[in-house]
Amino acid sequence: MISKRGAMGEGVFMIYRLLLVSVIAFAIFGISSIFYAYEIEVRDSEAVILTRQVSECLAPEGVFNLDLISEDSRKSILSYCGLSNERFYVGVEVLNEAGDVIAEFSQGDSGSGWVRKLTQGAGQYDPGYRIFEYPVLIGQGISEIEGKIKMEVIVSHEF
Amino acid sequence: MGSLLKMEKKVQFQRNLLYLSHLRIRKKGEVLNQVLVHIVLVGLIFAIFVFATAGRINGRDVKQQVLEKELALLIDSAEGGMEFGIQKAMINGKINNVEIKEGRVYVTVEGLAATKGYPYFSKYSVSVREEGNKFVVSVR
Repeated sequence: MISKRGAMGEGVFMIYRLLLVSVIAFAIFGISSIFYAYEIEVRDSEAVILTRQVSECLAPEGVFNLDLISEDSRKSILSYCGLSNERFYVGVEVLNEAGDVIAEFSQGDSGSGWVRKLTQGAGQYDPGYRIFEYPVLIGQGISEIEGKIKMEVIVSHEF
Repeated sequence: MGSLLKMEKKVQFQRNLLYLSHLRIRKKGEVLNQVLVHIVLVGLIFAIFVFATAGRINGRDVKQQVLEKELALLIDSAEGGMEFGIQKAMINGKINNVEIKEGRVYVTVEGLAATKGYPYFSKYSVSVREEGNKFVVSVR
Protein backbone atom coordinates (compact mmCIF):
# COMPACT_ATOMS: atom_id res chain seq x y z
CA MET A 1 0.00 0.00 0.00
CA ILE A 2 1.35 3.45 -0.91
CA SER A 3 1.41 5.96 1.91
CA LYS A 4 -0.01 9.49 1.56
CA ARG A 5 3.52 10.97 1.46
CA GLY A 6 4.54 8.47 -1.23
CA ALA A 7 1.52 9.27 -3.35
CA MET A 8 2.32 13.00 -3.13
CA GLY A 9 5.91 12.32 -4.15
CA GLU A 10 4.72 10.39 -7.18
CA GLY A 11 2.43 13.29 -8.16
CA VAL A 12 5.31 15.78 -7.96
CA PHE A 13 7.45 13.41 -10.04
CA MET A 14 4.67 13.22 -12.63
CA ILE A 15 4.61 17.03 -12.94
CA TYR A 16 8.36 17.05 -13.56
CA ARG A 17 7.95 14.29 -16.14
CA LEU A 18 5.20 16.23 -17.92
CA LEU A 19 7.31 19.39 -17.93
CA LEU A 20 10.34 17.52 -19.26
CA VAL A 21 8.36 15.89 -22.09
CA SER A 22 6.76 19.24 -23.00
CA VAL A 23 10.14 21.01 -23.06
CA ILE A 24 11.64 18.26 -25.27
CA ALA A 25 8.62 18.33 -27.62
CA PHE A 26 8.78 22.14 -27.92
CA ALA A 27 12.53 22.00 -28.56
CA ILE A 28 12.16 19.36 -31.31
CA PHE A 29 9.28 21.14 -33.08
CA GLY A 30 10.86 24.56 -32.60
CA ILE A 31 14.17 23.52 -34.17
CA SER A 32 12.53 21.55 -36.99
CA SER A 33 10.18 24.46 -37.83
CA ILE A 34 13.25 26.66 -38.52
CA PHE A 35 14.46 24.28 -41.21
CA TYR A 36 11.01 23.34 -42.48
CA ALA A 37 10.27 24.84 -45.90
CA TYR A 38 6.92 24.52 -47.60
CA GLU A 39 7.52 24.45 -51.32
CA ILE A 40 4.59 24.42 -53.72
CA GLU A 41 5.42 22.56 -56.92
CA VAL A 42 4.07 24.19 -60.10
CA ARG A 43 6.63 22.88 -62.60
CA ASP A 44 4.17 20.38 -64.09
CA SER A 45 1.74 23.18 -64.88
CA GLU A 46 4.55 25.31 -66.30
CA ALA A 47 5.64 22.40 -68.54
CA VAL A 48 2.08 22.03 -69.88
CA ILE A 49 1.76 25.78 -70.55
CA LEU A 50 5.21 25.92 -72.18
CA THR A 51 4.35 22.96 -74.43
CA ARG A 52 1.19 24.72 -75.56
CA GLN A 53 2.97 28.05 -76.15
CA VAL A 54 5.76 26.46 -78.21
CA SER A 55 3.24 24.38 -80.20
CA GLU A 56 1.19 27.47 -81.04
CA CYS A 57 4.36 29.31 -82.00
CA LEU A 58 5.75 26.57 -84.28
CA ALA A 59 2.59 25.27 -85.84
CA PRO A 60 -0.24 27.79 -85.66
CA GLU A 61 -3.43 26.23 -87.01
CA GLY A 62 -1.59 22.88 -87.18
CA VAL A 63 0.70 23.84 -90.09
CA PHE A 64 4.43 23.89 -89.46
CA ASN A 65 6.28 25.92 -92.09
CA LEU A 66 9.92 24.86 -91.87
CA ASP A 67 11.07 27.65 -94.19
CA LEU A 68 10.08 30.31 -91.66
CA ILE A 69 12.66 29.14 -89.13
CA SER A 70 16.24 30.03 -90.00
CA GLU A 71 19.23 27.82 -89.19
CA ASP A 72 20.28 30.21 -86.40
CA SER A 73 16.87 29.99 -84.77
CA ARG A 74 16.97 26.19 -84.63
CA LYS A 75 19.21 26.24 -81.57
CA SER A 76 17.27 29.03 -79.88
CA ILE A 77 13.71 28.02 -80.40
CA LEU A 78 12.50 29.59 -77.13
CA SER A 79 13.93 32.97 -78.11
CA TYR A 80 12.34 32.55 -81.54
CA CYS A 81 8.98 32.16 -79.79
CA GLY A 82 9.78 35.03 -77.39
CA LEU A 83 9.78 32.71 -74.36
CA SER A 84 13.37 32.78 -73.20
CA ASN A 85 13.89 31.51 -69.68
CA GLU A 86 16.94 29.98 -68.01
CA ARG A 87 14.96 27.26 -66.26
CA PHE A 88 13.64 25.58 -69.40
CA TYR A 89 14.85 23.06 -71.88
CA VAL A 90 12.78 22.46 -75.00
CA GLY A 91 13.72 19.89 -77.64
CA VAL A 92 11.58 19.55 -80.78
CA GLU A 93 11.84 16.81 -83.38
CA VAL A 94 9.90 17.12 -86.63
CA LEU A 95 9.11 13.67 -88.01
CA ASN A 96 7.75 12.72 -91.42
CA GLU A 97 5.10 10.07 -91.99
CA ALA A 98 7.72 7.27 -91.93
CA GLY A 99 8.94 8.46 -88.53
CA ASP A 100 12.27 9.88 -89.77
CA VAL A 101 13.55 13.07 -88.19
CA ILE A 102 13.59 15.84 -90.80
CA ALA A 103 14.37 18.78 -88.50
CA GLU A 104 15.44 19.38 -84.92
CA PHE A 105 15.10 22.46 -82.73
CA SER A 106 16.12 23.07 -79.16
CA GLN A 107 17.08 25.59 -76.54
CA GLY A 108 17.98 25.52 -72.87
CA ASP A 109 20.02 23.48 -70.52
CA SER A 110 20.14 20.02 -72.08
CA GLY A 111 22.16 18.93 -69.02
CA SER A 112 18.95 18.89 -66.99
CA GLY A 113 17.73 16.08 -69.27
CA TRP A 114 20.91 14.16 -68.64
CA VAL A 115 20.49 14.55 -64.86
CA ARG A 116 16.88 13.44 -65.19
CA LYS A 117 17.95 10.27 -67.04
CA LEU A 118 20.48 9.52 -64.29
CA THR A 119 17.84 9.68 -61.57
CA GLN A 120 15.26 7.84 -63.67
CA GLY A 121 14.15 4.50 -62.26
CA ALA A 122 14.87 5.53 -58.70
CA GLY A 123 11.13 5.53 -58.14
CA GLN A 124 11.09 9.28 -57.67
CA TYR A 125 8.31 11.55 -58.83
CA ASP A 126 9.59 13.52 -61.79
CA PRO A 127 7.95 16.96 -61.87
CA GLY A 128 8.40 19.43 -64.70
CA TYR A 129 9.01 16.81 -67.40
CA ARG A 130 6.71 16.35 -70.34
CA ILE A 131 6.86 14.64 -73.72
CA PHE A 132 4.19 15.63 -76.18
CA GLU A 133 3.51 14.29 -79.67
CA TYR A 134 0.93 15.60 -82.09
CA PRO A 135 0.24 15.42 -85.84
CA VAL A 136 0.89 18.46 -88.07
CA LEU A 137 1.11 19.41 -91.72
CA ILE A 138 4.75 20.15 -92.52
CA GLY A 139 5.32 22.80 -95.15
CA GLN A 140 8.66 22.91 -96.95
CA GLY A 141 8.98 24.88 -100.15
CA ILE A 142 5.76 24.50 -102.02
CA SER A 143 4.98 21.00 -100.78
CA GLU A 144 3.07 20.02 -97.69
CA ILE A 145 3.44 16.60 -96.09
CA GLU A 146 1.81 14.95 -93.11
CA GLY A 147 4.03 14.37 -90.13
CA LYS A 148 4.24 14.95 -86.45
CA ILE A 149 6.05 16.99 -83.83
CA LYS A 150 7.67 15.34 -80.82
CA MET A 151 8.39 17.83 -78.07
CA GLU A 152 10.36 17.27 -74.88
CA VAL A 153 10.04 19.91 -72.17
CA ILE A 154 12.01 20.07 -68.92
CA VAL A 155 11.35 22.76 -66.33
CA SER A 156 14.11 23.03 -63.76
CA HIS A 157 13.70 24.02 -60.14
CA GLU A 158 13.41 27.67 -59.19
CA PHE A 159 15.97 28.36 -56.45
CA MET B 1 -7.69 -26.50 21.48
CA GLY B 2 -6.70 -27.91 18.11
CA SER B 3 -9.91 -26.80 16.51
CA LEU B 4 -9.47 -23.27 17.91
CA LEU B 5 -5.99 -23.09 16.36
CA LYS B 6 -7.38 -24.32 13.10
CA MET B 7 -10.12 -21.69 13.26
CA GLU B 8 -7.58 -18.95 13.98
CA LYS B 9 -5.42 -20.03 11.03
CA LYS B 10 -8.47 -20.00 8.78
CA VAL B 11 -9.39 -16.46 9.86
CA GLN B 12 -5.79 -15.34 9.33
CA PHE B 13 -5.81 -16.90 5.85
CA GLN B 14 -9.03 -15.11 4.97
CA ARG B 15 -7.60 -11.80 6.24
CA ASN B 16 -4.51 -12.32 4.07
CA LEU B 17 -6.68 -13.11 1.10
CA LEU B 18 -8.71 -9.94 1.63
CA TYR B 19 -5.53 -7.83 1.95
CA LEU B 20 -4.08 -9.33 -1.27
CA SER B 21 -7.26 -8.65 -3.21
CA HIS B 22 -7.19 -4.98 -2.00
CA LEU B 23 -3.57 -4.74 -3.10
CA ARG B 24 -4.41 -6.15 -6.55
CA ILE B 25 -7.20 -3.58 -7.03
CA ARG B 26 -4.82 -0.81 -6.00
CA LYS B 27 -2.21 -2.00 -8.53
CA LYS B 28 -4.79 -2.15 -11.30
CA GLY B 29 -5.75 1.45 -10.54
CA GLU B 30 -2.12 2.54 -10.67
CA VAL B 31 -1.62 0.90 -14.08
CA LEU B 32 -4.76 2.62 -15.37
CA ASN B 33 -3.43 5.96 -14.09
CA GLN B 34 -0.11 5.43 -15.85
CA VAL B 35 -1.84 4.51 -19.12
CA LEU B 36 -4.00 7.62 -18.86
CA VAL B 37 -0.95 9.80 -18.24
CA HIS B 38 0.78 8.29 -21.27
CA ILE B 39 -2.28 8.87 -23.45
CA VAL B 40 -2.41 12.49 -22.29
CA LEU B 41 1.31 12.90 -23.05
CA VAL B 42 0.99 11.41 -26.52
CA GLY B 43 -2.07 13.59 -27.16
CA LEU B 44 -0.18 16.67 -25.99
CA ILE B 45 2.76 15.98 -28.31
CA PHE B 46 0.43 15.24 -31.21
CA ALA B 47 -1.49 18.48 -30.58
CA ILE B 48 1.76 20.48 -30.52
CA PHE B 49 2.79 18.82 -33.81
CA VAL B 50 -0.58 19.54 -35.46
CA PHE B 51 -0.59 23.18 -34.31
CA ALA B 52 3.03 23.69 -35.37
CA THR B 53 2.34 22.25 -38.84
CA ALA B 54 -0.91 24.20 -39.22
CA GLY B 55 0.90 27.36 -38.16
CA ARG B 56 3.56 26.84 -40.80
CA ILE B 57 1.11 25.93 -43.58
CA ASN B 58 -1.14 28.93 -42.88
CA GLY B 59 1.84 31.24 -42.53
CA ARG B 60 2.09 34.45 -44.50
CA ASP B 61 5.09 33.19 -46.48
CA VAL B 62 3.13 30.17 -47.74
CA LYS B 63 0.15 32.34 -48.70
CA GLN B 64 2.54 34.65 -50.50
CA GLN B 65 4.12 31.73 -52.37
CA VAL B 66 0.68 30.43 -53.41
CA LEU B 67 -0.39 33.85 -54.71
CA GLU B 68 2.85 34.53 -56.57
CA LYS B 69 2.86 31.14 -58.27
CA GLU B 70 -0.85 31.28 -59.16
CA LEU B 71 -0.39 34.74 -60.61
CA ALA B 72 2.71 33.69 -62.60
CA LEU B 73 0.80 30.70 -64.04
CA LEU B 74 -2.13 32.94 -64.96
CA ILE B 75 0.22 35.35 -66.76
CA ASP B 76 1.96 32.44 -68.54
CA SER B 77 -1.29 31.02 -69.86
CA ALA B 78 -2.86 34.38 -70.75
CA GLU B 79 -3.21 35.58 -74.32
CA GLY B 80 -2.47 39.14 -75.38
CA GLY B 81 -5.24 41.58 -74.46
CA MET B 82 -6.36 39.70 -71.35
CA GLU B 83 -6.84 41.33 -67.96
CA PHE B 84 -7.55 39.79 -64.58
CA GLY B 85 -8.31 41.28 -61.19
CA ILE B 86 -7.04 40.20 -57.78
CA GLN B 87 -9.21 41.22 -54.83
CA LYS B 88 -7.27 42.89 -52.01
CA ALA B 89 -9.17 41.00 -49.29
CA MET B 90 -9.25 37.29 -50.07
CA ILE B 91 -9.06 33.87 -48.46
CA ASN B 92 -5.26 33.93 -48.60
CA GLY B 93 -5.13 37.11 -46.52
CA LYS B 94 -5.02 40.82 -47.24
CA ILE B 95 -2.94 41.70 -50.27
CA ASN B 96 -1.07 44.95 -49.76
CA ASN B 97 0.76 45.12 -53.07
CA VAL B 98 1.27 43.32 -56.38
CA GLU B 99 4.36 44.18 -58.39
CA ILE B 100 5.70 43.01 -61.76
CA LYS B 101 9.43 43.58 -62.03
CA GLU B 102 12.08 42.09 -64.33
CA GLY B 103 9.96 39.13 -65.35
CA ARG B 104 8.94 38.29 -61.80
CA VAL B 105 5.73 38.57 -59.80
CA TYR B 106 5.99 40.01 -56.28
CA VAL B 107 3.05 39.91 -53.88
CA THR B 108 2.98 41.55 -50.43
CA VAL B 109 0.60 39.64 -48.13
CA GLU B 110 -0.48 40.96 -44.71
CA GLY B 111 2.52 43.26 -44.54
CA LEU B 112 5.05 40.56 -45.48
CA ALA B 113 7.08 42.08 -48.30
CA ALA B 114 8.05 39.76 -51.15
CA THR B 115 11.76 39.07 -51.47
CA LYS B 116 12.19 36.46 -54.17
CA GLY B 117 9.07 36.66 -56.29
CA TYR B 118 8.30 34.06 -58.94
CA PRO B 119 9.29 34.26 -62.64
CA TYR B 120 6.82 34.13 -65.53
CA PHE B 121 7.70 33.47 -69.15
CA SER B 122 4.98 35.20 -71.12
CA LYS B 123 6.03 36.76 -74.42
CA TYR B 124 3.57 39.61 -73.84
CA SER B 125 4.11 42.84 -71.96
CA VAL B 126 2.69 42.56 -68.43
CA SER B 127 1.69 45.45 -66.17
CA VAL B 128 -0.29 45.90 -62.96
CA ARG B 129 -2.44 48.76 -61.69
CA GLU B 130 -4.46 49.41 -58.54
CA GLU B 131 -8.18 49.90 -59.08
CA GLY B 132 -10.36 50.40 -55.99
CA ASN B 133 -10.35 47.24 -53.92
CA LYS B 134 -8.42 45.16 -56.44
CA PHE B 135 -5.22 44.94 -58.44
CA VAL B 136 -5.63 44.53 -62.20
CA VAL B 137 -2.97 42.67 -64.17
CA SER B 138 -2.92 43.43 -67.90
CA VAL B 139 -1.28 41.16 -70.48
CA ARG B 140 -0.73 42.97 -73.82
